[in-house]
Order: sequence, then C-alpha cells, then structure tokens
Amino acid sequence: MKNDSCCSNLNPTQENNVIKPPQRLVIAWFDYVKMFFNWLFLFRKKPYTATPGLYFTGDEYDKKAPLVVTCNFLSTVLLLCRRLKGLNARLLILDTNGINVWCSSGKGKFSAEEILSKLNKYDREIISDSEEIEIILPKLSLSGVKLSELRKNKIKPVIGPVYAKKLKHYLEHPPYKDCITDTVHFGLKARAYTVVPTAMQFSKYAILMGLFLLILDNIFKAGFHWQVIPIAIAISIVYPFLFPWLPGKRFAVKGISLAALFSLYDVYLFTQGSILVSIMIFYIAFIFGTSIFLALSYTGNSAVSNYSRVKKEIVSFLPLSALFYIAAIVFYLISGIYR
Amino acid sequence: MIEFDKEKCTGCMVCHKVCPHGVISMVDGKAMPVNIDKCIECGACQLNCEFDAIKVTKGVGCLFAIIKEDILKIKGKGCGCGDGSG
Repeated sequence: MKNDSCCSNLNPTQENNVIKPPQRLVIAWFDYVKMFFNWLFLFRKKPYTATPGLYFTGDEYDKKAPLVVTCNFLSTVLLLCRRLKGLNARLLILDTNGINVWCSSGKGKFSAEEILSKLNKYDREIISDSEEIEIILPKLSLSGVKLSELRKNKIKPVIGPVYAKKLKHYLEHPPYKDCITDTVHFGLKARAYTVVPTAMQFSKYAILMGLFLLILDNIFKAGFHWQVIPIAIAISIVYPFLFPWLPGKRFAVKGISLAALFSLYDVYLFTQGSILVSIMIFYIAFIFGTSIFLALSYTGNSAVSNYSRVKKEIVSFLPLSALFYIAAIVFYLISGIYR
Repeated sequence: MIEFDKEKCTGCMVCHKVCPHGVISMVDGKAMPVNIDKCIECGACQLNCEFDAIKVTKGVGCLFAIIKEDILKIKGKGCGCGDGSG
C-alpha cells in the first residue's frame, strides 16, 4: 500500500476543499481491485473515484509537461496512469462525481467552469502571466466543455484523442493539433467490455422475474419454470456480442431478431413432444418480452444510441414488451390447467 | 433531431472538429450532416457553435433516463449511472 497514490488517498469527499501540491500518480494494488468492481458494476450509482486535483507522471513535476484534463472515475485515471508510463505529463483530475468523461460532460459535470475552477486552485503551479496555458481535452468531453469559454480565460484548449490508448503517442509528438478525425468505435472489444456489466445489471431483473413466477406457482400451482432466469441472463450476454449482426436498425428490432433465434430451441422441444403447446407459447412470449426489454435497456450501455430515436423506440416497443409478458402470464396459467 | 441553419453558419468548422462520430462535414463552406444515422445527439456541436447555427434535441439516449425524466418527470436524476446526479 503506497500512501502517495492519488487513488489510494482517503475519502475523496474530504479532500475536495484541501488544495494539495501536485502529486505523483502512482497505482496501488487495491486500486486494481476497485477498478475490477467498477467494471463489474459499471452502471451502479456509486463508483470508486479518484481524488480531484493536479497530478503528474514521471519523476518530478514539470511545469512544461503537457497538461491533460480528465474525470475522477477511478478506472479512467488508472488507465491513463498506465498509458502514460515513462512520460512526463500533468493530469488535472476534475470533480465529476466519479462519472466517466463522456457521461459527465453530458451531465454538465465535465465543463469549462469546472476546468477553470480547478486551474484557479492551482494557479501557482500552472498559471503564469506571460504564457497561454495549453490543456489537452479528451474529445468526448466536448459535449460539456465550451471551448470559447476557455479561450476567453487565456486557456488554449486542444482536442485530444477519443481513446486513452492513443494518448501517449499523441503527447510524444508536439506541437499538439486537434484530433479532428478521431471518432468513437463501438466494435467487438467495446461491446465485450459491456457484456459482464450488462449481465450483472440485468440479473436483478431476471431474478425478480423468477421470484414472480415462484409466487405465481405458489398461488396457482402451475409449476416453477426456473429456466426463465438463465434465459434472461443468456439474452443479456448474447445481445451485446451479436449487436451489429442482428437484423434491424433499431435496438428493439434487433431484440426481436434475437428472440426469434432463442425461440427456435423452444419450438424444437415442442416438436420433440418435450413440452406442452401452452408452455411453448409461455416461453416464446417470455423470450420476446425479455429480449425487447433488454434491447431497450442496452441503449444506455452502448455508445451509439440517440435520444430522439430511443424515445420513439420506447413508445413503440416498451408496450409491446409488456404485452408479451402479459401473454406469458396468461399461457403460464393455462398450462397449469392442463398440468 | 439535429438542425443546421445555413444562414447563420460561418464555416468556422468547430462543429466538424468536436463531433465524436464524424457526423458533420463542410460542404461549400457550410456545415452539413453527412452521417446523420451516426448522430447520438450529444450536443457538442450545438454547445460549441458560436453563431447559434445548430439546434440539437439533446438528451440521454437511455431507456432508464427517458423513463425517469420524460415519463415519470423526475428531474435531475439522470440515467442512474454514476452517482445519480443528473
């Protein structure tokens, strides 16, 4: 355990009002444990955070080293710390309530005001009358940062790369130019990163669905179909992987496509005489309801959803998902009669 | 929804520079959406346009945020991820 780690500092909320001199960025082993939990519960309300402030990589604080601005989501800070190994750089960590760069800029936490406020706190270490201060902003922060606001305050903002993996190479090649052509990619690696957190997030709904069926079974004695829990979790795992290949442009239509795929096995079991027709319809209705709901909830986990389109999808497809669940309950009760 | 006002656009290119999805290009010296399907309505272009030439229906493209903010009218709760601080 190293006390000089930014991420190992004590309660960040207590640190907010205390201005510390620039600290060297060091990772402690338990920060990786926190990072793992941040990933596992990516969509929870209270992620692990880093203490906001001014940090540096390399041996000592260098006033001429490039100044990179970032959020205080612990995982982002650790990633930067790893990527910047062996390079003299300064890192200004903003107070974004532990939210990542993109989400916090959308929520107004990663803003020009927050940057100016932090820069003012470190005026002796950063600000000088003669020079313009150059800061490198993550490209995804620009939905919250008004560049002209910074320029008005003698700050020269430079649009940095979207991804941390490109940062070291970028910083090694001054003078820094805006990364105009750098864009977001929601490829297999990015989707794979969301699989486990999505499954964790959706598991609670799957368990609730299972509990609901258990209650129905206790009342109507129609049998407890525990398989609904693994089916729901399986849908939440498969959907992100197959996302670009599932037919349809909309999230929900892709969900319907996946439901059709999952239902094939159910139909096969029926043709083999393994299940009753009412049970087959119960499972098909459940699979469609769940797959549409998962698809709609995945909008927030992806990097390609759009507010207007998601709103339209919710109006069209959330009621459809509810109707499938109602149908599932009806056929579950019917199956109890023929049991 | 994203709308461009050709009259107000001065061709300064800031919207083209800040867009994280490469949606905006310059056509005849004016900003134009060329990959509109890729637009996630993050609002970076609108925020950084000094000439009020872009209008974006900005919002969180997330089921839970839309249910909370638009349907249940619970303001300032955001999508629930990251401290729930809106």
